[in-house]
Amino acid sequence: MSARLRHRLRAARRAFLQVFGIPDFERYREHMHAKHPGAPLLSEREFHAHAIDRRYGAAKPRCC
Amino acid sequence: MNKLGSMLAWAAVAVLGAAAFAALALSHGESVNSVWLVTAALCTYFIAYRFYGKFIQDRVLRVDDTRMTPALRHNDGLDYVPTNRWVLYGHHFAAIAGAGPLVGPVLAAQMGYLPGTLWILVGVVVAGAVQDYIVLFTSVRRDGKSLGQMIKMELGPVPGGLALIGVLAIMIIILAVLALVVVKALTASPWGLFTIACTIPIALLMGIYMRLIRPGKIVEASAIGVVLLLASILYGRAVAADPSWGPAFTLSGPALAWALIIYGGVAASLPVWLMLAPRDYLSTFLKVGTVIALAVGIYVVAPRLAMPRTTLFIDGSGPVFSGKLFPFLFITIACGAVSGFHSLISSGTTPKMVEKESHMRLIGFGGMLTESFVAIMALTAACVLDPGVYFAMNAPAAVIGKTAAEAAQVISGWGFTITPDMITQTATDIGEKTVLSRAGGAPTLAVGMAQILATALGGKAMMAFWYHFAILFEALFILTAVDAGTRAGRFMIQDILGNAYKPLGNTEFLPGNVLATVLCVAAWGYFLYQGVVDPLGGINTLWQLFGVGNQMLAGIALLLCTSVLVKMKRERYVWVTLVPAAWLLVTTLTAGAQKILSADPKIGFLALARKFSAAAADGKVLAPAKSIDEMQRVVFNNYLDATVCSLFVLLVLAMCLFAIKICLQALRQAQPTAIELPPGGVGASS
Repeated sequence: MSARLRHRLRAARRAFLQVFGIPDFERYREHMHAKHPGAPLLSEREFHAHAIDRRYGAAKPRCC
Repeated sequence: MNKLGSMLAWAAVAVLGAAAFAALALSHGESVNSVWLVTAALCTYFIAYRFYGKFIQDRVLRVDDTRMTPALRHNDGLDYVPTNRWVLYGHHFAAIAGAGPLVGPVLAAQMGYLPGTLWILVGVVVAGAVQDYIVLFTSVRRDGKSLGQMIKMELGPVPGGLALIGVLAIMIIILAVLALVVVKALTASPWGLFTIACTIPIALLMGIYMRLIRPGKIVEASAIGVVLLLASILYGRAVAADPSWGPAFTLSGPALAWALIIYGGVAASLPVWLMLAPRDYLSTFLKVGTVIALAVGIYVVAPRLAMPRTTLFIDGSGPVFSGKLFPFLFITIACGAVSGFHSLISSGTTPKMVEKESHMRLIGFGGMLTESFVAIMALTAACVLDPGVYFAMNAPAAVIGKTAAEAAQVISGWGFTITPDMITQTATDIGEKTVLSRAGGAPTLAVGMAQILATALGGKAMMAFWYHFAILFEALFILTAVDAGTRAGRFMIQDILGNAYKPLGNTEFLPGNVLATVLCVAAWGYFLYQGVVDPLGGINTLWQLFGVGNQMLAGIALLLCTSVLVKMKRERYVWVTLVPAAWLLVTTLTAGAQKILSADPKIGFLALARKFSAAAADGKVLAPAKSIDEMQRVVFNNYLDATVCSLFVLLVLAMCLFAIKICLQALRQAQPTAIELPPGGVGASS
């Protein structure tokens, strides 16, 4: 697989996850490395649990 | 594209749209192809987006891409994430699209396809898309604040508190009416009930899978979920036909209502990852997939519209809902044209993900145009059905009787010729025992969709499958809404209770949680039960109550937008939000006043209450009530409905006064007084 194709696939996967509001661990990890190097990182399992609880815990009303 | 090319392309879109409208308008006496309807809608959307949306962007709001958005300011990789605009458009659309745009247009089809189509198209361009866009803009300029917070900031604490009470009341009515749609679709339908019941263990399994077995693998879990769902639809036919399982899944309306009430209470108390989250992902995938399939289906099959352009029922005598075209069309079709609930979503998660201000036209304005397209497709699916079948499915038993023979006679009497055989054949085709009086939109849409999808894929043999698929798809996201809405209602109630007794406001305090959940479920459960046992069908009353509430919330949101424009010193363009706000106020206040005060007991709550109360005093029992007890219940419920309706009316009038006061104050100021964050985000709280 060419690097370019791999890059495209990754971007498509990312967009898909974002459209459906699915937590993206990879993006979180990159964000933490770039913005908060050295800060404690949640494990993949912790990240997903945390993200789902946050997304639904705020008890936002669903649209009619 | 160069300028000339662009001009030619837009001229072509305009000509195509005009041709489509001409085809709709000039079809005398012959049926029109639904492709014209859908094409007219699409051309309207493109032109509105390109020209009116851009006008609002450049002249009215004057968006500024050098300003920091909340996503850039707080970028935390979790809630605040700068997001590609197309991705956010999809995300926002998935968040605003629900059952609303599917139900309203189906009910409104009783007046013919044209009134509904025109209101959906004009309404979305002038009101709905404008509301969603400007609320999103206002929230982004205020660090992603919610509608309630913004009303408090810009209009004052009293209007802020009033808005919260209004939102809670509307939510209770929405939950009741959505649950009622599910009850109407599943009553005495073992196949349907079995597949919906299966979604509970499937969701639990998915929840455990994506939390404990393969953490975060939501797509995998959803794929398993979809396969199991399809299997449950296929297997449902056998269950329904089984001599012992069939009757076990055949429930009456009141039994289903109790089941839903208990479900709502239990589901809202479970951890979110166990049922709410997996079911929400599943329903979002199905929703987006089905909407795309329906759009492709309509273009591939190109069915003819069987419903006439307008029917005799624009005079207000319709069996599906009572009341004249003005004002009742405009509150029956709420979502799809303009929906107040969107103002909560546009000031929820979406503003925290906007990367640049210029992206908001696509997300807010474009997202709402897409939802409107869903409403147009729902209307199309309902109008593709034979009008006789449509009325058999949507008129209450009190009007058309309980057998196919009676129904065929009554409906043919209205000029929509139909035989009892056609009614029973429709039921057989979709694998149900009866289709009579299944009001509420979902079943009608499901039959329409089944007709379209079966023509495209699978033929008549697949109709029953597609029907139950469509019911499942609607029920799935309604049940998610019931779960999420009960949770949201619980938080709001705890917020209010906390003012009276502090510990009750603590969301970690178990007795407080339980009390608030029970209060919330009891509130919507009461309206649901009342709707289920109402011999006139319930949808008749509840949907209109919902419509009034939802459109009034839109009116309030547009009043906020109007005040913000005036405070920004853009009063030259204030008509952009003032015109739709005024229209919503006029239609909802007229509808509200008629629902409360009309002397016609078919429309006015008080008139009906008085009629039944007078008869009960004489010891007479009026049909459809069967005892004096039932008579008393009708009286009480109508007084209650009148009270809720009055609450909405008073609320919106109060908000109107506050908005006028604030606007007059702002007009006297020489400088802008809107409370926005400064462009660089200095002083922002994080």
